[in-house]
Amino acid sequence: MKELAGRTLGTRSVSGAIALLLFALVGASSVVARQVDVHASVDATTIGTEESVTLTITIDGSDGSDVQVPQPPDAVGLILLQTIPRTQQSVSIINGEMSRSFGYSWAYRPTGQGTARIEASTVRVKDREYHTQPIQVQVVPQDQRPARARRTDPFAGAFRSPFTPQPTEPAPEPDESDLFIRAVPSQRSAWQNEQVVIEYRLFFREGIQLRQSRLTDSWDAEGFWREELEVETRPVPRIIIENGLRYNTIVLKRAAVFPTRAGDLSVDPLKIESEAMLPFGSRDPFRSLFAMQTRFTPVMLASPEVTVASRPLPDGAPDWFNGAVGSYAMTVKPDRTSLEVGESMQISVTVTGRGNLATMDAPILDVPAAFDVYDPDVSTLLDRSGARLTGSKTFRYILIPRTNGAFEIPPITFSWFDPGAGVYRTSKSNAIPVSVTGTATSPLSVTSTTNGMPVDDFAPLFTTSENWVATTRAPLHTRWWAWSLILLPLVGMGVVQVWRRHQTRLVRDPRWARGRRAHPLSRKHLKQAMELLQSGNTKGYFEEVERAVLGFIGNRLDIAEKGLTRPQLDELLSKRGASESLRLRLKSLLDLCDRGRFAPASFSPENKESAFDDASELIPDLDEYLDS
Amino acid sequence: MMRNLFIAMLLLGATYSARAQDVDAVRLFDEGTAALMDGQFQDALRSFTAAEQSGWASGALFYNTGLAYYRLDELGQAIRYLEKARLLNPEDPRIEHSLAVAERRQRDQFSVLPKPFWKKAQQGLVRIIPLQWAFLIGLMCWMAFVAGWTAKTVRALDGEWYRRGRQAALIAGLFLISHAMASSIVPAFPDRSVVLEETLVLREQASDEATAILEVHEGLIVEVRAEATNWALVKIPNGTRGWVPSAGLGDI
Repeated sequence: MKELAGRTLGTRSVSGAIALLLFALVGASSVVARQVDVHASVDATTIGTEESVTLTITIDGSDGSDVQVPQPPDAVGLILLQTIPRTQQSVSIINGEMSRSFGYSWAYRPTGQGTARIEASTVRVKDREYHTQPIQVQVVPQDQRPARARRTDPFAGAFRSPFTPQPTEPAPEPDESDLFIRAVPSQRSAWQNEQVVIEYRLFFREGIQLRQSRLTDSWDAEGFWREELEVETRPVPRIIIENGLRYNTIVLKRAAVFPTRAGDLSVDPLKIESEAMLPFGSRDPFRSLFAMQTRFTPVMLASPEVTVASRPLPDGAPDWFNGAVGSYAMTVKPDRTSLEVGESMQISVTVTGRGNLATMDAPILDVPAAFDVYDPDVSTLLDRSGARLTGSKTFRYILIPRTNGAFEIPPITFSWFDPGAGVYRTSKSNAIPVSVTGTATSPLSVTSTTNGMPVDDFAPLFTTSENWVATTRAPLHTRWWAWSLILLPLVGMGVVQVWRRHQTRLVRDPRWARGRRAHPLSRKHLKQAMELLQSGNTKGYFEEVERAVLGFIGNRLDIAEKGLTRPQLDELLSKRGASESLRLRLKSLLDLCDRGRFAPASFSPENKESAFDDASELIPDLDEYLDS
Repeated sequence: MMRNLFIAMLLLGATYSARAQDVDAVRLFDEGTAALMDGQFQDALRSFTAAEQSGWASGALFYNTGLAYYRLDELGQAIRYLEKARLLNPEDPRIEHSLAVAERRQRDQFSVLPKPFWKKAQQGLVRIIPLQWAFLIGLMCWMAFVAGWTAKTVRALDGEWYRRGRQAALIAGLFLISHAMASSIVPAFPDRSVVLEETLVLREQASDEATAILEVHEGLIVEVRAEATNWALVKIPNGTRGWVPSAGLGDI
């Protein structure tokens, strides 16, 4: 095994340029100038009983001058073939920076089948000791060893003539331990909308060459919002020891994904197709050159699927929370605070931080109704160069006042969920006082609807008012006159009905009709009597008084009063139960009327009027008596 | 007699439907409108409030009051007065448009429970024939029936068409009067109020200590179902009921 001179990797982007990147990895392995780093590796972790395994202790960052030659590590199940290590040294210059590496190698042979172990070793560089990790090697029967490159002495070719014929070697094929992609999520469980970074790393054993590499399927992450992060366009492989094997590794792709819903969400594997060639058993450059076309083997690489458990955000989100998850800070800046009616002002709300900036909604801007507010102009600036997606998002609101006055833009509040602390946080700006002067030139906005109404604002005011109504009006059902108006016709109908019955009885019942007429008829006669008295007709006066009394009695008793003698009249009244005193009063009045008719001169004016008074009192008394 | 009755009904109807205008109310409306045009919203509100307190109101007065409140960013009061304006001028496009604009700013978007069919019928009838007109027309029909009956009773004025006319007048009169009185007792649009506070908490009982049901926000229109001291039982559009402080509500 030997460190080959650094052939740097070339890649332009993560997806399409992987081919270019990997094709440039022709036997690439390099080291980077850095601090001293010591690690041990073997050329194979599974060998046949007839093969050997080479242990290499590499000291990066050293040219060997300050390294104390280490002792070969002890081994279990392996026999050290030589005590003096082979040394190797490499120097590379990358981007103008030189790096050195120095190595010691020992070969071991297995003593039998089973698990062998190379113990840890201690290396002293300058005044400091470095320790390597123990390495396990599986020893299998020779005929069961992995079908791969024959284990050879890594340094044998260095002392062999390149023109010496070599036996034909079978084309080795890489297995899963030689070449693979590993997906490394930053976390396996995340809150909804929390940022998770997935890094895809290509691991390849030293000396492996790749060409014509490309993505086979489009990488997808259903249920996630995803943002690509930048990877190095010319990545320098890092050397990593995995299970005792020495790998070069580069970052193929780095993506920030944000679960948009709760549940177990899967990210598709990253798949690439390529042609790979393992290093030859010998270091023959001519063989490598002429046999390259035939020794490349098609390989298909795929990362494992990544599953992220997304859990919903906890309850208790503030009213202003609009889905932002991460770590943020907010700044609010108006471009002016004094303006005239119709002019515009701009309020810039900038949210800076790390999280789901791309899917974040605009903060709620609650402005006085005197302002027209337009949808914010949104600009997002994302920094994809870091290990996580960061950046800022600016919302620029345009406000146009419709009227003058002193206003205040209320504080703008922005809330987000801090996934690290598991709590909601809120940032609140200060209120912005705004002074608006001038007057509106037109009550209508230039942006009006088809029926002349302004868009998103009130219609113009009413300049005149008609159809005033009393605000103190009581409900209809509490108004007495309403019920009266409803019931009055009913009363009228009742009256009409009574009147109608009265009229009908007057026609159909003459006796009843005569009785109803008695009293009014008497009043009529008495009235005429008084008129005769005032005209000096005493005889006529007494005749009318007598007629009033007798007519009343005749009507009430339904008899013809003219043919009645005084005894007959008295008898009739007696039969109807009239009292004697009443009958005497009647007899006295009738006698008085007789005397008045035949000797009118004998009456004084007072006596004449007493007859009228007597008749007026007697008729009601008779009426009452006859009714009872 | 029928002639006299007809004249009496005409006079009664004319009296009932008269749109009296109060001079002071008109003057205050004009002053408030001028202040509103000058952007002096508080002055405008003072004039409009004085006009309303004079005992007179109009759709224009309520609309301008709502507009002044809107300019002062008092969404609850704005919606309240726009709703009042709509009650007086149901078909006015300016009121409808502005009310839609104001309601878009309202934060609560509850689903609305369907109304029972009889309520819909009642509200539809009230929209077609306002209560006072229903009463007036119903009364005229009722009196026409009485007049027809009287003519038949007194003058024996009768015949097939007279009989049909009396029946139609009786049915129409009773229906319209019943509708007017029923809608006066049980209003087609129940007592509604608007949330004036930025946030009100509905509680299970009329007490600050009672369990909170949910929060409602300024501008939401609620039905007031009952009232207690300083508290009101309200029903929000999705049917949820709860008690809120009366001071946080403004009646429509």
